[in-house]
Amino acid sequence: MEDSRDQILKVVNLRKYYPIRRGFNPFSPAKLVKAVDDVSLEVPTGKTIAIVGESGCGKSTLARTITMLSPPTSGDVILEGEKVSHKGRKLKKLHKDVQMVFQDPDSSLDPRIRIKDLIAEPLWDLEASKEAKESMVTKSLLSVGLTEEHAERFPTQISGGQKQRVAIARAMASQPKLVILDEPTSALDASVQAQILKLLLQLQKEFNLTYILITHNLAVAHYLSDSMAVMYAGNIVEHGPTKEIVSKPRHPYTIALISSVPTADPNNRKILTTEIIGEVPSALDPPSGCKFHPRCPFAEKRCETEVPEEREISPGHFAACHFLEKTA
Amino acid sequence: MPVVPLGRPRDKRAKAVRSAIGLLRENKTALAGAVIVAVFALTAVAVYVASLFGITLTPYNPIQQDVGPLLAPPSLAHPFGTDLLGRDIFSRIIAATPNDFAIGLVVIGFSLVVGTLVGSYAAFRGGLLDEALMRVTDIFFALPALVLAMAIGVALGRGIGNMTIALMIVWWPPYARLARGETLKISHQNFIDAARLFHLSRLRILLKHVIPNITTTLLVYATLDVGTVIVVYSGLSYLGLAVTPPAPDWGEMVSSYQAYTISAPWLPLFPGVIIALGVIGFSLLGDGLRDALEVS
Amino acid sequence: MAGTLLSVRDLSVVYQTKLGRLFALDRVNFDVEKNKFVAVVGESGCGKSTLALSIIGLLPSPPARITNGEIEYKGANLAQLDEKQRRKYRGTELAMVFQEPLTSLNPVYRIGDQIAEAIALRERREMGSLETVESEVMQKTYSTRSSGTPSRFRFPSRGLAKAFHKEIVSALKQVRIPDPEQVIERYPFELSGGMNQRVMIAMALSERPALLIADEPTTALDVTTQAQVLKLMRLLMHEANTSILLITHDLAVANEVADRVVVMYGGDVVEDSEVDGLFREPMHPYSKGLLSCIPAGAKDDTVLNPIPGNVPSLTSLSDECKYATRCPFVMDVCTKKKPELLETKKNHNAACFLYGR
Repeated sequence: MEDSRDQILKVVNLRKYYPIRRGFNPFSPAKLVKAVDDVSLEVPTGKTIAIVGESGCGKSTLARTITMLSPPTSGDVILEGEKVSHKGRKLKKLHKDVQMVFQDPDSSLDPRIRIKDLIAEPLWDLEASKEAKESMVTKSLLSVGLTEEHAERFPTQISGGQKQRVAIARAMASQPKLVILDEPTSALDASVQAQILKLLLQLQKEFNLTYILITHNLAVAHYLSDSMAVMYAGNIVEHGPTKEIVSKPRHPYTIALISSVPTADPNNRKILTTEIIGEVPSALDPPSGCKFHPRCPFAEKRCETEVPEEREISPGHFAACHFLEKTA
Repeated sequence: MPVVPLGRPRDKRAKAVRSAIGLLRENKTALAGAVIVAVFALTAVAVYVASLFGITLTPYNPIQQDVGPLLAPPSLAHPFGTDLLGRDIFSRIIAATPNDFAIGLVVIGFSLVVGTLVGSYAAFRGGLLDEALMRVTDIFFALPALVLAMAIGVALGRGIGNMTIALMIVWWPPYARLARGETLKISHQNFIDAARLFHLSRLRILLKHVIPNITTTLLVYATLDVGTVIVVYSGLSYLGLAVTPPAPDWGEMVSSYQAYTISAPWLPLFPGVIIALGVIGFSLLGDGLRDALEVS
Repeated sequence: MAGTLLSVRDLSVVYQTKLGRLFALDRVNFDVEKNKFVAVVGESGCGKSTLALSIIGLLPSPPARITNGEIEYKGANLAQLDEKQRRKYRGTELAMVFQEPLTSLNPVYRIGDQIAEAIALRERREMGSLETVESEVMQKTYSTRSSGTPSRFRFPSRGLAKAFHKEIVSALKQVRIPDPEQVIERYPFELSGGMNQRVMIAMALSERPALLIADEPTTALDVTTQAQVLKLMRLLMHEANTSILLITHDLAVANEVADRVVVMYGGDVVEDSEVDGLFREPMHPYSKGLLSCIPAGAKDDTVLNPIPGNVPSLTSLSDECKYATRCPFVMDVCTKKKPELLETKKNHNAACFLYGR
């Protein structure tokens, strides 16, 4: 099927709502936190798609929903043409093909277990001899730039960058096809971040991996990804090829976001001249209509009541805004 | 290509012992506590093992009367003096050690196991099961220890066995609560999510990742708690529920000797001091353990 | 121009820990001029937070000690003052804003009450000075003893907030908080990180300090909020006549908002320059390395050159350049002597043997 070969993963109308109980009345209707509010995405095989947004936009929830760590409230996740479920044989296939590298290196490794056993964990139910598993672990360890002496240590005895390497080695040990990287370098220093980014690129080439990169760091997203989706308050407001979104953003939020990112280029300073007002909306009481309208310099009456539909700006480049002509 | 061996290295146990000794050397309180507990433990084991072979390790037979003058103050022959029936108090105290010491460990051990299983499983499953298990825990928590012990004493009869059972029934709920809290903390860590993504079953994750990480906190609490069991059990034997005379028991000794507090103060003093020492020993050990483990 | 406000000379700080000594700062030199925005940049462990704490006087003194050097401020050497004397400067002439706004604000008091506390302290300090201060508010709030000295300070209370209502609203307006009347009644957990950080800045500025030190103030904030807060800080620098010392790990932030940048590595200042100079022509190999680590384009058109090796451990002081083991331009002399911070170009200092001595 053409679909599953080009797009290893597809997300269709995904919603994840969390009920929140306010007050003591058990019969009052629960308010809903709409963490992911109707998201559809296509992840092309062998490439990197970045999901970019600020805190509370729902990008981490999206990652958890795709991996069925928190099953979606509604909508479908389609892996290689087949719908994924949070139970049974389909879940097993999901776990075989999809893995994740988490944000906080300190919390993603069990401090009581040695590095080599951590990397071996995904192989626990693999039908192979002990020797075969040992060599897989060693191979994984070396491929992320660590050595045998690291293998015997505990997570508390290695640095943050090394911990992330272990997390990457562990995620790759069972040879998945798709790896979700949730803020893989946010907790690291600049020089270590560069090392990890290069490592990720190298591994992608070597094992023909597909990456979904979750990040708030636009520079990292720009560097690593081929396509990008910008999230705001649970929705994707713009998506398309990275180069285009970075050079010709069309959604007012994307424009504000990009112009708020500081740069080390002395000829291109911009953040002191950006005019972005307000704050990220509360997830419990989002604005009506287009969720960005209270902060949007181009907003009109229509934006308060009507949720904008996605429109194609150029091949592959979409944005959800009523007045795209204003940002052309 | 060099290969990294999986599984535990052989010298792991040696390393653990070495690091434990290192910890104790650093922390003076823990050392003091460990020494006290060790003395009690060795005495208990020695006396018990010897009794299996019919040997009494005490200087005098603990239940034999008239081994010395009645109500004699402490002397070289009788370091803790003699009681109203001429029994050597020192021998009685030593002879009581296996019971009193073992009760503490049995009750705490039971509470640790049951509490951990109930608490961590409840937290891990969450939802209705969590609620149900916690309400059951609350029911047991609400039972007053002494009243229950007395009720059991009346219904099933006195004796060490029955009193131990009474204590086990009421002792485990705080452990369940603690285990649940610690499990909740752990279950938010990313390595639990990672394990789920490797398709490990909930039970496997509980045993492999959750329990080892909550053990430290629970162990520290347990160590500090042993002292409390000893005191409560002494209270029960003071009330006459636990041990039947003439078998020696610290709490029972305090109870029957208290009338002599003015005339022969060494009678209630030594058993009381030994109980206090036991509690202090475990407290110091627990404190030291907590400090040492916090650093790592 | 204005003149030097703060001068750090040969400052050395050592931490005494169970595992040995940590030489957190090793003869650090730099200046902060009046009404200027200085950014101290470096990765974790370079000593920038220690530097900030030393200046404000919040170094945890049992493990840490100033072993050498001066912190010259308005004629006094802050490094030599004891805690009591330091308190005269802390919060008054020198104010500080920290990284995590939620832990800097007291969660059990309302915003208005906390700002009132800061304002009351300022008024009290001014009242205690030799100049007469007309403050009806102060007289209403504090009863004075017969000798005329103010009585003991009270906890933040609703009364204080009411008494200083006007001042509080104006402080909040100064940091551009919308709806200040509403915000006064809120607790910190009800506000977002960005708002809390503005409140922190308002409290810091309520003392009208000459120098505001900000330790990673925007690291925990979203990028759009960060832009707003940084913009605010630059604005306030002019409005409130304050200098700003910003501690950050983010070179890009330094480029965007600072007038002067000080680059630190392993407890040393390796480069100290006016901002355009550093980013157009970095001199020290570490600055160059750091700049080429920052992704600035797509993977096919840019080359990321990570710096090989690791940050040095600070457990020993040796007479060599700390960057020698990772430096692509390393020479023989680099492992034998420690380079001094010298002026290599106008307004641009670097500590490297590539530039002589």
